[in-house]
Amino acid sequence: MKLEQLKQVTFQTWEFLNWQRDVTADFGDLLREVSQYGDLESKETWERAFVAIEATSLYYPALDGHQLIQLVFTHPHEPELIEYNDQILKQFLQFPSSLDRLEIGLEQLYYQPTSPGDRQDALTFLKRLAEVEEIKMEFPSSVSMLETAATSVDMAA
Amino acid sequence: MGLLDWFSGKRSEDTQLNVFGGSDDIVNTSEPSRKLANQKLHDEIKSRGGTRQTHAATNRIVTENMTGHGPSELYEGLGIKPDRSLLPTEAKEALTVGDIAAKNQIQQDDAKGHEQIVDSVDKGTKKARKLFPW
Repeated sequence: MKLEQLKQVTFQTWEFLNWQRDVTADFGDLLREVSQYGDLESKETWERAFVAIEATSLYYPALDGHQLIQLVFTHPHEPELIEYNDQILKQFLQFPSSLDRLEIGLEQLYYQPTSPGDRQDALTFLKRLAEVEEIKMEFPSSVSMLETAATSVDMAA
Repeated sequence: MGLLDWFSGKRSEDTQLNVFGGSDDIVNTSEPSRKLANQKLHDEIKSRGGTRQTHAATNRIVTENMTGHGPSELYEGLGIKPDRSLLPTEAKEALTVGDIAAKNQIQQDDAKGHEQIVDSVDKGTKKARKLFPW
């Protein structure tokens, strides 16, 4: 992602975060915020700022755990979310309730799937999460369990 | 127009003649639920060009309009971890009604993109909110 595009995305994410917090802020406030992460002319500074602002926005409890897993971390479609996904996840996990939220989401996707891909998303994300965080959760992954789940999804559809 | 007129229009749209000239007319009678209502709303948002922020804004507006509290205030006030599945039944019912109202308003307005979708969600849930005692 080019620096100009990254700046635009950061500003837009910052505006959204302010809307979530019910505060008004202008471009000057954003520059002051970003300058905490380094030189304003450097791309690394804007990358660090974007990741921090995005993670803080996700911390606001609007998206449920299963939505964080699927919309943000497993099937992102916005370029900035794809490019900085690992960094955003790591930063998001710094917040106190983040792991709890993701674990609730994982359990829902695995044990109460509503779409055919839910269980696979849970397994994929659990594996990824276990690489960056100490996780006690484990899913039974035998073929018979998967078949049972697939059948229940078909019936619910 | 009542549901019967609407449904018969929908069925004739959905029905396709099979190779023998008959019709494969299958009526979907699956039971609605909180999770399915929420999933249908978010599928609709996705198909209409919503971003992750549209999904998050929608959940916030539905929660705020249907319960009178923003998500942070609601979860902190109840002393629970932030996830809709952990809410009391009354709150879940209100959010389900809100999700259905929001989806129908989006379709009625033919809303596309973040701003239009969020406006429709606000409009639909403000109508639905009037039914609740709080």
